[in-house]
Amino acid sequence: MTHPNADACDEIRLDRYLDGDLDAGEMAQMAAHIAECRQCRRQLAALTAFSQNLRDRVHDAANSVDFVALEKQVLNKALRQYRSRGGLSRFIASLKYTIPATVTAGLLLFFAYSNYVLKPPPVPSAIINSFTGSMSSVMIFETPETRQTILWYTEETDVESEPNAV
Amino acid sequence: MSTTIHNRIVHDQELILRLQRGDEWAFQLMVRRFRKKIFSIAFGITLDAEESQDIMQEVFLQVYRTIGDFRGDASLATWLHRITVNRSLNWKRRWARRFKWLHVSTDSTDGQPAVEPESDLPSPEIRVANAQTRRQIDNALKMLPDQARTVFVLREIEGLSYEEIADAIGIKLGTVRSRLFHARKRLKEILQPLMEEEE
Amino acid sequence: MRYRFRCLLALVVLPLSWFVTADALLAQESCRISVDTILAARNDTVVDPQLKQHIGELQSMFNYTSYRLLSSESLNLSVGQSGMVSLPGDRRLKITPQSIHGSRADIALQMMKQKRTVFETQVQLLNRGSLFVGGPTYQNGNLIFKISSAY
Repeated sequence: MTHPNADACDEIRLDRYLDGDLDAGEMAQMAAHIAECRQCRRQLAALTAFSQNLRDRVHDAANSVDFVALEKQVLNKALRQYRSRGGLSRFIASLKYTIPATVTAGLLLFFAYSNYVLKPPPVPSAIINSFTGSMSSVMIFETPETRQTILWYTEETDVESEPNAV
Repeated sequence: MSTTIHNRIVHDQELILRLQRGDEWAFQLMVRRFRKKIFSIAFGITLDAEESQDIMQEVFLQVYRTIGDFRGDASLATWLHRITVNRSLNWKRRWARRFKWLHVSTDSTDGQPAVEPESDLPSPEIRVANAQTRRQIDNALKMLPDQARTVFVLREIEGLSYEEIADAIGIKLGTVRSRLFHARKRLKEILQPLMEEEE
Repeated sequence: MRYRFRCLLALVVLPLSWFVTADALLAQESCRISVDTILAARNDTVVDPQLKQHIGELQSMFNYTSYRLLSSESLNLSVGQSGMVSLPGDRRLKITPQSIHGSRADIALQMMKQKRTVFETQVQLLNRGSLFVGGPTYQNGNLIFKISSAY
């Protein structure tokens, strides 16, 4: 019989024993059990060896890494991030002024253009709604291009003066 | 002991403050201090040296980007562990989806793990023996579920306490114990044939 | 930084609001009427430099060779308010803005000579547009009144 005290085998306690998660009394009790129990001893040895092999495996892998070169790469990338972020934030900060300035300029141009620069639309400059009086003649016409309204009349006393002015 | 921990925490706090100020030297110091730890955790989870180097870089760059949001709820090391675990698991999930990294079923009904056949090459040669050991370790780790393997790696490679593991992964202490227990139980099953061979 | 931005915003908004409100509210209640009196004749070829810009197209319409600016008068009139402009030949022009809507102002014009009304008219004058009223003989030519409004 390889395992004389099978009832005492407790995988959970063995686990905690491995991690040192037992109090002193429990540790001593478990150590006594392991000394007698071949199965638990084998399991413990297997797990311990596996963990040690794993640490060696990771250690070997880490030793083959050029950490100095990696450190430089990381630093360079971080600095690039910082610069691009700084550049972006500077750009965004500049937008705080650029956008309102552009909008203002645009609006000012719009108002100036529409109020002062824009040529009169092709509509009559004046629409005569009513006309009454005592005259020899009256004519209403407009210029062909800018449609400037012209009201031309001849006073009664001036009939002979300039009949063919237009 | 408490003095050492206290000093380390103070030093980390200073490092964080300097990092938050954009101190290049502090960043370099952090990289030097944690690079091997981060690589080791990433390697323990991914078992891929090149990917682990990439993950390490990503972790540091993420820290650099988001250090301003670090509130100090956990230590710098715990924060780094957390980021590393997340990135490593994300990488592995991505990789598993795309390339079926993990082929071995963990639902083996006969309880016998699918261990890769041993090499025909003569075992006395050290290099071959080492290669065999590496392969056995890798195969055994690959058979562990992600969550159990992560806890196991943090415990066995980094030697983190249950509490530190709980903080790093964001799980309860009891869950840490449970996952660690299941990881070891599964490993014992996997390693059983090897133990019998050695007898 | 935030303070500077607010100042800048205020600098932008205030002139614009002035532009909009002044233009939309104040200008709706009053307008500026200007009357230029031009003597058009055929005895020489002098064109007053001040008129070149305004009568370029008129020159192709009238059979005159000279245009002289005799007088220029401006009135700021509220809606309903009348203004009087004295013109050559004992003439007077009474101007009354009646309403302003959109781009046009309704304006009543009454031309008088001595004590007699020559004509009365109601026109809708385009903002910054002009109505040319002409015909009366004066000296060796004819008078043209350029009536413009702006609001």
